[in-house]
Order: sequence, then C-alpha cells, then structure tokens
Amino acid sequence: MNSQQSFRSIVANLATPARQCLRRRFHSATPLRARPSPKHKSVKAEDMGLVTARGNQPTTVAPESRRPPLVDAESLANPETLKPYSEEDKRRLRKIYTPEQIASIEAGEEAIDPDDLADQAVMRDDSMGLEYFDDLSKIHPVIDKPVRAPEENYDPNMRFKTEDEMLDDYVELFRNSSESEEISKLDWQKFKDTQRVTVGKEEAELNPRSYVAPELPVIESLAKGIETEDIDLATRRLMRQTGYALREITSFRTKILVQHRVINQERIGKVQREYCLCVAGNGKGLLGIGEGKSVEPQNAQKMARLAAIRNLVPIPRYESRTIFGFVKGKVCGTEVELFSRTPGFGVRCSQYIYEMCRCAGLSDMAARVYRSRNPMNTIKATMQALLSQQIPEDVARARGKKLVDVRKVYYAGSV
Amino acid sequence: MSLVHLADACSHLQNASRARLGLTSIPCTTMLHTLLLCLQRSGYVSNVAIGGPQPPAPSALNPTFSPLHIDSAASAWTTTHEPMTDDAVATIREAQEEVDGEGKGLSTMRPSMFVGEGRSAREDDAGEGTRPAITQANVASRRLWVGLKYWNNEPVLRRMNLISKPTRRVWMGVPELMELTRGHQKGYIKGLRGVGESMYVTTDRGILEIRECVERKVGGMLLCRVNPY
Repeated sequence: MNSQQSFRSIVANLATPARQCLRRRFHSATPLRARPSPKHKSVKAEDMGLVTARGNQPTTVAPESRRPPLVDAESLANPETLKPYSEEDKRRLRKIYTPEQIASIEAGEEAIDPDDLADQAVMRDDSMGLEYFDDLSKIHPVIDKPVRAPEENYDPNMRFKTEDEMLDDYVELFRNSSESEEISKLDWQKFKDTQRVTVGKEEAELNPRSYVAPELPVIESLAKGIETEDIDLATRRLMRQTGYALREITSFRTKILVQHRVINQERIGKVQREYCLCVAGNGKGLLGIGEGKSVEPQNAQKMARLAAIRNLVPIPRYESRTIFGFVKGKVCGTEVELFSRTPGFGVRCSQYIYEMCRCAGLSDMAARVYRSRNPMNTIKATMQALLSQQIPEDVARARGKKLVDVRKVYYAGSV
Repeated sequence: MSLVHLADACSHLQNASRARLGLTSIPCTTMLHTLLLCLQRSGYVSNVAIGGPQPPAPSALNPTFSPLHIDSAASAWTTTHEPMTDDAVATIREAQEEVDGEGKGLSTMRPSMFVGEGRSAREDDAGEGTRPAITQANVASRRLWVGLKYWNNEPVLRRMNLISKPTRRVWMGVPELMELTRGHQKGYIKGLRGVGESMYVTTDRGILEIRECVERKVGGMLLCRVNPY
C-alpha cells in the first residue's frame, strides 16, 4: 500500500510539468520565467493624483475659440432649477410669441421630465451648435425647416399678359388719375409697384411657392479674407484650412531648400518625380516645413510651399532673437545641436538651419550638425529641436523656484 | 561611497519618472539620502523619507504635516501600507530645520541613521517614544522613499546621469567648477547648458549643488547631472 502510494506520487510528479506553459512553444529553449513582482512596490503617480490618465489629457483649446455657454451647465444639471413657467414668465412670453407658439412651448414643457433633462441635456459648444436656446422667433437656415409659401399659391392657368392687356393697364391708370393730364409721381410709383405681368391668381405671381433649397448662411469666421479675385483651388483650400487671408499667405517668407528628382521602379518602368522641401515663416516666431512631390517640378514646389504654410507652428524665442538654452534634435542618423547666443552674434549655422532661422526670426544662434548631414533630416531635426525648447519660467514653476531674468532687471531692462 | 549604488539610483529615478510613478524607493544609504535631500531642496523631488519595505503613510511624507491630522490621514490611506513611520517624519523635520537654518553649515546635514546617535535633546523632549527606531535588526530592510514631482502631467526630473564613474572619478577645484556653471566644457565634462540643469558635487561639507560649491568656494568630486527635460 505504501509502495503504491509512493508510485502514484511519482507518476503524478512526472505527469505535471515543472512549470505550466500556457502558450504553445515553437522552440526547444526553456521559456523565460515570468517577471517577478518587485520587492519594494512603488505607488503610481496617477493613484496619488499627481498626473491624470494618459488617455484623457486635457486638450488645449485656445480660450478665444471657445464660445461662452448659453446656459449654465450646472443649472441645467440640477432639476431643482428647472421650474415650470410662472404667470410672470408667461406674460413675458406672450409679448414675443404667438398663442400657437406658446401652446407648443407648453406642450414641450409638459412632455419633458425635468429629471430626464438634467440627466441627458448637454449644451453643444461646437461650431454646429445652436446659436439660440429656445428663440422660436428666428429661423436658422441650416437647422430649421425652410419657410415656404403654401402650395395653394400655385395657379396652373397663370400666363403672361398680352401686349393689349398691358396697354389696358396703362389706359386704366390714365383714366383713374386726377383731372390734370400730368400723372403725379406718387401715382406712377404706386402703379409700378402693383402692376402685374401675369393673368391668374395674384399670389402665384407675388408669393410663389419655391422648391429651391434656401441659401446657406455665410459664416463670418470662415469667410474672413476671401477676396473675389482669382485664386487657385489649392490656395483657396489652404485659406479655408488655416484661416489665413491671402495677403498673409503672400507675406510669409518661403524658401525651397531641397529639390531633386526621385525615381520609383514600378511594373511599367521607372517613374520619375520631383521632390521638394520648403520652409515657411513669418519672421516673428512662426515656422513650418512642408514637402511636395509631383511629376512637374513647379507643381512640387507649390505643394511644398503650401504644405509649409499649413504646418506653421509657433516657436519659443528668447527676446525675439534667440532660443532658450541648448537643445538637441535627432532624425535618423542626423543629430543637431542648437545653442543660444548673445545679442549681435548672428546666425552661424549651416545653410539649411540659417534659412530656417531667417524664416522664424531668430537672429542669434549657433548650431552643430553631427553624424549624417542629410539636408532633409537636418531640417527636420532642427524643427524638432526648436520645438523641444523648455521655457525657463515653466521649469522654475515645476521646480518651485523663483526666477528673475536679470537682463530685464538691470539697466532698466534696456540691455 | 559606492558610485555603483548611485548609478543604480540614477537609472531607477529616471525610469520611475518615465513610468509615471508617484512614490518609489531606493536603497537607504547615507550618500543617497543626502543627495536626495539636495534634490529636494532643488525642487526635483517632492519628499524623501526613510521607511520600511512598504510605502510609508502620506503623513510621513508631508513635511508640513501636523500631528493633529495623524488619524484622519492614516485612515484615508489603505491598510496595505504601513501605518506611519515616525522616523521618516523626524528625518524630514531635521532636514527642514537644516534647510531653514542654512547658514549654520551643512556638515550637520548628514542624516541620523541610528536614532540613538543623531537624536537631539529637543526631539527626546517631544515625547515621540512610540516611533520605531532604526535598530541593527531592521536597518537592512530600510528603504529611502522618494516622492516624484510632476508638472502639467510631465515629470520634473527627466534625466539623471552619473558624471564620475566607478572606474573614473572626476574631482574639480573651484575655478573649474566656475567654468562648468558658465556652460563651458572642462575636460570631457560638458558645462551646464540646458534650462534648469543641475550638477551635484560631493565635498568635505556634504553633497552640494555645483552653484552652491562655487558660492562657498569648495571643490569636490562630481557626482551626477540632473535635467528637468
């Protein structure tokens, strides 16, 4: 019995593998051990409330681009604040709305439970949101149904007056006018206003039913700077995407820095195209780079120019002349180091970085390009470096230090 | 003074920042403790406390903590953590006092690893007899708990690298340190060129920031370089 037990235990030991392997093994090497749990477990910053979750980082929306909320979100969320109309409210409503409109308002009030409203109502603040909350006196050309004349206005027997009938109108005018042969200006104007050119129903001519869609509204913010002169499609699209006016787009400094032919071997043979890299800037801290590729060199240049303007981003500048401290950028094998310099130092950089500095409005800077000096990667790495600048005020704030720029303090800040 | 431990700590703090940890621990040695207190003074870490293998209670990490709030804070913390390490509080208080009375000289800034030795008479009078003392039995399990800082969801301490290596230590006098603070290269050591960059030097007056060294006119061995970006 004892021997049986020991035999069983041996068999059981052989049957169960030493380490359970959940995944199928494709090789004979022993699988790695699972990562051991740390001996001294740390606490995550998210659990301590130091950082927010990575997924839902606060989006940075420019404050001026946001519209003020029409209704306070908190008051909407609280069912207590959603009370029925008082007699005073109704009296005010009657001044604005017709009885039918008031009836529909009351029906709507009755149909919606305040608790549901508090739960579900969300005020939209995007561009397609309503501009008004409950102003039924206005007709929104996009959201509301178009107001059309009734179908009864249509007259199938309507036709234009013949010449004789028109002449009869004039005869009538002279007959009805006062005794004097001269027709007064007032009578003439009245006749012109009321004269009809058709025979049939009066509404059919004056207020016909239209089946044409109403005209779309002009949005002021998007219509800014659209000039009537002839602008090509690509530029027009750029203006729509960026919001820049044509004069702004033409005022940007652009420079083609790289241009060469590229050849792609395809099934049909070698396909040659022109590649172009352009930088753009306004000389006041905006800088962008754009690439274009096309069969036609001119087309590629234009594509690159427009792409560069589309990619314009603000670059931090110290005293509007140099960068903050020392920054590095790396793209593939190209490493770029940029150094801030004293006033009057000039831009002592490679030709590509020099052109970028001119576009961005940097006048004192030094740079080194290490390892590969590929022009395209140099430009991209420089852009990366310029964007990776740290602002001293931010660093001081993060470290909890007080920071004073002595250049702004000594000699009355006129250094 | 092992630079190997320092190298490990540098890498660990860097990794912990990238992994967005709020509270992490490194081995408890005198040099690391002094260095971390320096980092805290420079604003790279929020708090430093000596504790056991488990993270200390938040009350132990807050230097401005008042004993009146012990119960509420301790109950808010989950039961998986140690209730409270008073020795950590004491260490932080000592450090704070040192920071406040900076003019006295930093030679007294060495942390008191053994409470019996480093304890002042005033602390004994405070009546904190219940705190677990660091004894020979538990000294090996002590860890340095470091609170990492974040600003706008980005870590404040991003890079921390050794300058002296275990196989090549670098000593510098005041003139060379001055050059480094001005951003010039000295030997193969790059100067302080970045925004908000710091270097730490171990001197006969304790571990100091390089600018402090220049101010006090003391030289020493370069330990590490810290970058906030």
